[in-house]
Amino acid sequence: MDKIARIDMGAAGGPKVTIGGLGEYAGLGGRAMTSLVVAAEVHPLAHPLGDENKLVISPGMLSGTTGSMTGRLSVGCKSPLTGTIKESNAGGQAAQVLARLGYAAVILEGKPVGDDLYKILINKDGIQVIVDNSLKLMDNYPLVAKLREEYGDKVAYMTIGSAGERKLLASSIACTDPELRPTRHCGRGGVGAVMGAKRVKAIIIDDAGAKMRPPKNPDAYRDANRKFVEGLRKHPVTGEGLPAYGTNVLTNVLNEAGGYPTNNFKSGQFAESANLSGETQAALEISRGGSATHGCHRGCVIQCSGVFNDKDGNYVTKQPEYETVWSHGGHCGISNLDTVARLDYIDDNIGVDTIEMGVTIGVAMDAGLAEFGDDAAAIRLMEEVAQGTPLGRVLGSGAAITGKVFGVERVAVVKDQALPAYDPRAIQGIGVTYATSTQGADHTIGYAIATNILKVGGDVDPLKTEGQIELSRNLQIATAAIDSTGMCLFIAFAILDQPETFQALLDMLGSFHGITMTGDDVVALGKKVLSAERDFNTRAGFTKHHDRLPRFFYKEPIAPHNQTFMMKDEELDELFNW
Amino acid sequence: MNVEIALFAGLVCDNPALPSHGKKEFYLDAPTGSTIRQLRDLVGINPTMPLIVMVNNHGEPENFVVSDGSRVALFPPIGGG
Repeated sequence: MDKIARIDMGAAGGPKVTIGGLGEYAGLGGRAMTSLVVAAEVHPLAHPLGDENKLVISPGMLSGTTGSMTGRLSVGCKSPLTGTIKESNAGGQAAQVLARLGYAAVILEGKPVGDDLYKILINKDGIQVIVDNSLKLMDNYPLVAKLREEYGDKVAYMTIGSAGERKLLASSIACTDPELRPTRHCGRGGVGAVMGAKRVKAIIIDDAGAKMRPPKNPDAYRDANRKFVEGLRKHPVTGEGLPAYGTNVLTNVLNEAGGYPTNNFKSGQFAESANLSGETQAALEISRGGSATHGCHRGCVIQCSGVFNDKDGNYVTKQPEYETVWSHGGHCGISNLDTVARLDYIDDNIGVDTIEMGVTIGVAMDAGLAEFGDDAAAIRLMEEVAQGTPLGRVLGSGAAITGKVFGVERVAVVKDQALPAYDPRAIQGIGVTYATSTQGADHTIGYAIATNILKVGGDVDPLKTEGQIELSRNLQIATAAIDSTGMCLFIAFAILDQPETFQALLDMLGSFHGITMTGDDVVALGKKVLSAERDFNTRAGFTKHHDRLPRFFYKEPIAPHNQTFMMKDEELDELFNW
Repeated sequence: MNVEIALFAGLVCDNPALPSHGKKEFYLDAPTGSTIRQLRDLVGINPTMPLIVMVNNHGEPENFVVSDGSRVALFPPIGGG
C-alpha cells in the first residue's frame, strides 16, 4: 500500500484522478488513515454533503496480506448524521482487494455539477470514473447483479442503494461478501449519503494480476499469524460461541442482565426474547438449509455470520446480527425472526444502517405511527423509506430527526446517532462510551459490555459507577488502534484474555512492517487517532456538553434494576485526560 | 430450596440422576445454602468451563450463596456485539 488515489468528482471537465505517494500518511491504514486525513483536510464547519467534505476509503494496515481476520475496510468523512468526524468500518472483500492493488486510501473529493451518476473502476491499470445513469435509484441487490453482468464475479463491489442516492442520513455503503452479496455495510453515520452527494453509485475493485502484500519478514509473519489463529481458535468466544451462534448469542445474556432495551427503552427485559435468541436463530437457519457459520471475508477464522433462509429454503438475507435483531426486534416489541430477517434484507437492499433504522421505527411507534409489536407496520414503514416518500425520507434520516418531527421525547441518541442494543442504565460502562464517543452513540468504539457483562478482560460491576471511566478509556484507545489494523474487532475477546494472542498480533504488525511493535506503540496509535478525532470535533463546535446521554436516562429508572444512568458529568469529562 | 435454572448457548443439565436431565430450563431442588459452584456441579456442567453467572439479573461469582426462589442463569463464555 504505497499510494493514495484522489478523485476530484467536481473537477472542471469531469472527474479527475490523481495518484500520489503516501506523504505524511505513510504507515497508516484503516481508521488511523481516515481520521487523520479528515482531521487534516476537511474544514470542520464544512457541510457534510457539500464539496468540502471528503470520503476517505482505506484498507487496514494488514489488509491484503495472508494474515487472518484482516478484512476490515474503513470509510471516513464528516458525518451528515452527527456533524462529527466519522469512521465506519465493514467486512466483506473490498479491503483485501483494494490493499492488494496497492492503495492505502482512495479519497473522493469535491462534488460534480449536474445529475450524472458515476461508477469507479479500480484495477491494476489504474482508475476510471465512468458515467452510468442506468444505475439511478437502483438498490443494492439488483445493482450488484447488474454490475456482475459487466464486471463478473472475481471483483469486490462497494455500492450505495437508493437511500444513499437520496442522501438519507441513515444511509450506508455496502461491501460485497465472498459470495458477492451486498451484506457488509459501513453502516453508521450516513456515509452512504456522502458517497451519494458525490454522485458515486458504485466502486468496482478488481485485483486481477495483483499479488498478496509481502511482509518485510515473511517467516516471522507466518509464525505470528499461526499463533494468532491458534489463539482465536482456543478462546471460547472466538473459537466456539461466535461460530456456533453468531453475535446474536448476546440476546439472552443481555435480557438476563436487564440491559436489553425494550419498546423504545421502556424496559430492560423483553418477555419474548427467547424467540429472538441466537440459539433459536441458529437452529432455524440450519433447519431451513441455511447456515449459522459463515465468514464475511476470506481469511476469517471466527465465522460469526450465517445465511438466513425462508421456510421454503430460499435465501432471505445474511444472518442478522445481534444489534439488528434487537433494533428491529425487541426495541420494537417484535419477536418474529422472519420479520427481522425481512427488515434486515430491506435495510441492506436500500442501503441503511440497521441500528439507526430499527431505533427509528421504535421512535415512530412511540409517536403513534404504529403499535409496538406490529410486524406488518414495521415492514410498511421501511417500505416508505425504500420508496422515498416524504414519510420515508423523515424515517430514513434517523431517530433524532424522526423524534423531532413527531414530538417524541424519549429518543435514544447521542450526537444524533442512535444508541445500540445495551441500556446504559443497567450497564453504566457502555453509557460512558456512548456519551463520550467521538462519533455519536456507538457500542463498538469502546465495548464495555465485554467487561461489564461478559467478564472478558476483567470484571467491572455494570450497575456501579466505579471503574467505568478507566474501562471505557482503555477500550476506546485499544479500539482506535485495532480499527486501524484491518483486524475484525472481535479479535479483542481473545487478545484481552490471552497475552500470547495479543503478542502474536503485535508480532504480525511488527514482522509485516519490519519493525518491533510493543503494547505501548498500540496505545500511542490509539491515542493519536482519538486525539485527531477529538480535535476535529472541537473545531466543528462540539464541547463537553455534547458528551452526555439524553436526559431521560438520568430521570427514568428502568426495570428490573430500577436504576438511572449515574455517571457524573465531571467524571465523563475526565475520559480523554490521559 | 427450590431454584429456577436457565442454561444457555449449548449448556444442558447433564446429570442423569436428575429429572431435568437434558433440559435447559427447569426448577431444581437443591440443598439450602448452595453456592453457584455447587449448583453447577449438581447440574453436571463441565467443571473446568468458566461460566457467566446471573442470579436474579445480577452477575455473581461462583462462591455466591443462592437463596430459595432465585433464578440462576448460566452461560458459557460468549461474546458478540
